[in-house]
Amino acid sequence: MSLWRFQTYRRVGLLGINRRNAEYILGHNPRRLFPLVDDKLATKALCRDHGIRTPDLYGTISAHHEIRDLEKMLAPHDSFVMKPASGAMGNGVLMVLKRRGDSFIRGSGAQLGIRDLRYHASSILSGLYSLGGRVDRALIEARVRVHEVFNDLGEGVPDCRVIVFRGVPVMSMLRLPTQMSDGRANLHQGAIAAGVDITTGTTHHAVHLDRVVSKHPDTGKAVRGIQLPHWDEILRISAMSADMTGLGYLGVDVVIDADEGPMLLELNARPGLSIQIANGGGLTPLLERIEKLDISGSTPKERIAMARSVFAAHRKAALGEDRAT
Amino acid sequence: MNLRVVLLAAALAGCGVVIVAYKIGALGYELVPRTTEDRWSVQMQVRYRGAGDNAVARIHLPSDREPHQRIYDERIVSEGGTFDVITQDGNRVGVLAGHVGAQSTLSYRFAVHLSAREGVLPAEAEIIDGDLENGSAWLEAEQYIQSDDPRVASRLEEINAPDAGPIETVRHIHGYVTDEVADLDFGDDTDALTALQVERGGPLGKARLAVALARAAGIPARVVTGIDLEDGARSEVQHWAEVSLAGDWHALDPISGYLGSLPRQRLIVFTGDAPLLSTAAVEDLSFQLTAMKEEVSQHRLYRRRASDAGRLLDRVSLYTLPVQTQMTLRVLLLIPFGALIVALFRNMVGVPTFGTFMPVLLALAFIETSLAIGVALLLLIIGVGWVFRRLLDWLQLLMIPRLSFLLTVVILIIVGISLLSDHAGMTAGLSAAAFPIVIITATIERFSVMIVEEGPRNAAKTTAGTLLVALACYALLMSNMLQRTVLAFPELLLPVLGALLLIGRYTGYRLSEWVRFAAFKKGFKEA
Ligand SMILES: Nc1ncnc2c1ncn2[C@@H]1O[C@H](COP(=O)(O)OP(=O)(O)O)[C@@H](O)[C@H]1O
Ligand SMILES: [Mg+2]
Repeated sequence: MSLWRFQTYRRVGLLGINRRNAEYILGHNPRRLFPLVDDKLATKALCRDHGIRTPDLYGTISAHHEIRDLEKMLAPHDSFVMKPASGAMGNGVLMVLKRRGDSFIRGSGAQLGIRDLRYHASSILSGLYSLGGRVDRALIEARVRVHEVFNDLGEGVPDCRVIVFRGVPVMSMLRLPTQMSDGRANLHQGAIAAGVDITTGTTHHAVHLDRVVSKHPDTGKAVRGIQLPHWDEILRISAMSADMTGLGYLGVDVVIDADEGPMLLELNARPGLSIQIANGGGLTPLLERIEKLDISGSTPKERIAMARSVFAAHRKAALGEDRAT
Repeated sequence: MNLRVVLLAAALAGCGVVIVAYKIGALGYELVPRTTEDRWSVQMQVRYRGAGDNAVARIHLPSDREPHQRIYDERIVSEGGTFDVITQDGNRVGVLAGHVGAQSTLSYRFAVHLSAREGVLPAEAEIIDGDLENGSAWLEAEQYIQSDDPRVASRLEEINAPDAGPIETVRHIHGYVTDEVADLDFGDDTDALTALQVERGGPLGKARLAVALARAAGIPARVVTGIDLEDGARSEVQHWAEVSLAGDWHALDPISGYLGSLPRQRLIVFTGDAPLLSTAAVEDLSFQLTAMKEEVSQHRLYRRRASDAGRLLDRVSLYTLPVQTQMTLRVLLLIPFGALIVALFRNMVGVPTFGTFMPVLLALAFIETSLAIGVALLLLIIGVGWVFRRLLDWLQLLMIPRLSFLLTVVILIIVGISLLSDHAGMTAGLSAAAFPIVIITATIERFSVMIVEEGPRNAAKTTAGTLLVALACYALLMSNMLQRTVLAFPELLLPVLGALLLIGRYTGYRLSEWVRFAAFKKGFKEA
């Protein structure tokens, strides 16, 4: 009796962490491909070869002595983002919005000196933010400017996560930064997660810190019914990322720049499960449908069409089930 | 779940169970081997300040020639003086010579195996007339053993039958000194004659009296000094008599009443009625005796069986290994069980921990330190370490030097705790060195980064999770019964492997997901 909640989870098709690891990650993501997505510089290079846009790279710092040149590297830029090449979960991402005199203003409004930036770079290099504390590289890239649809939806850049299975987009969510998350769009840092309808690209449901919300906590603006611009391009980037990396189960993070449109921010070979909470639905039924598809030789465009029909079929089945119960 | 995995796991578990069943059924092993031997760790500590030029302390070291006690791992640490071991009257004596005004300390540690001494007195018929193999030296009167005094002779006449043989005489003497002479708690230095006259005496007085009576009856006898070991600091020095019958020495203990045998926890130190510790020209003398009991499995029995039997399974028994190795293996063999617990907690319950095997390592450290003290010390070390880590933040150090700095700080904290607790006279803190220092350092680093990155709540949660799993591992590793069982049946690790395979392919929900996906508890249907 005490396990009835798990029964509900199973009925909804919630994917648990053990099953994700055992069946989808171990089963579809060969270990040797991980470096492609665990290193953001490698991902950037890959994207360049495949015609997928990413934020402009201003520079990289690979060794401590290069930190001396940091000031010169930053000189032409008023705003930028410094982050570890192999970080995760938003750790070590430092976003500078503008300069004021000699200091730099962060997303949170905090002021930093060049000394702080140097220290941050050196922490990144020595592996503070990388998995397992391995030596890392710091990369400095253009700050993506917020698209106008996201006005009043918090400081910082929302990013759109798409789960792609066997090259077919499965589920998507929009992550909206809040004051709490310091401009970063990572959920456990306090960002809002809004489920995005994969067929239309509009948000249909949202949670903040695992609780259902309809308005942004900082601004009060509605977080449901937002139509993401360039939705088809976002789906195309997602489907192509699977081809370009060879990973079967993949999380694709896309940001939408005000002028340049969708750009790939990072790829994830172990995408999290909260996307299910954001969407109010489980991944398993969709994944099981996609498992049965014949995808050999299909183009990204064809797989986007498959995604739409899979989702439509799933919704129909779910409605039927609802009526039956 | 994958059928191959299930079959493999079942096969592993099956193999283990079959081997265990065979060993119990056909080879006569016990599922939980009993303990028959006692292993003790004993420490004697002497400390004094020299008051004259010839400051010296002499302490008798336990006899290493007794068949029922095996002494090993002797370790001597002396400070502020010179230390020598000499042989005196056939006994080993440690001599610690110091200097005027200087503090001298001696710490003498050893481990000893005591096995049951089930001696019986020989039958009267085995005594051959004039059996004095053990030398006439043990018949002569001494300063405190006045066997030539007429009062001793007349008391002997009173308690002994005129035509009694030596065995009967010994029994009479034993009965008399044990029951008729009252026990004194103090006055250890009573001589035989005084004890006889007042019919009262401490262990030494009564032992001397028994020896005097035996010698008066023409039976070689001597005083023996030893220690009744007790867990903790309550061990007591004991004296008793030994009589020579048919070429062998037999114990006669007028305090505990043993005749021919001795209490099991009795450690024999030396023969003679000299004091255990004697000193000259010293002041501020302190003497401490502590003993700790450890149980050893029935290894001798199994060992004999292992060497006699031709069967392979007997041959590969771990009991053929040296005891020291066995003690190590006992804990080592339980580590896979600890790892199994970690896997259960992490993959099925979903408890977050610092590092994968940190909980097991902590549990091992807790065994050394004892639980409450271990947890307290750990929290202290991590707490203080974290404060230092915060200070380091301020200096903006690079990672590797920063971690090395932190490592050094952790070691200093441990040294500090040891020193403080030693000064305060608490031995508890001395065990702080048992902690896996490198891993603790990494934990402090991860802990402080986690506080910044994921908030203090997550850090506290992970700390609590680590402690919880460590406690579960500790409970398991501490199980003496399990230790003995696994030593006898190392094949029990096969089912553990099987269980690990199953957990490795477990794709159900984690218990933590019960909470994590609570939003779905009603199916998450929207309005
Ligand atoms: N170039 C950028 N411009 C604006 N915001 C960024 C940029 N890079 C990262 N961010 C913000 O930081 C968050 C985390 O960055 P990301 O590159 O995804 O690293 P991580 O692997 O740590 O998640 C993003 O979700 C986004 O909100
Ligand atoms: Mg990210």
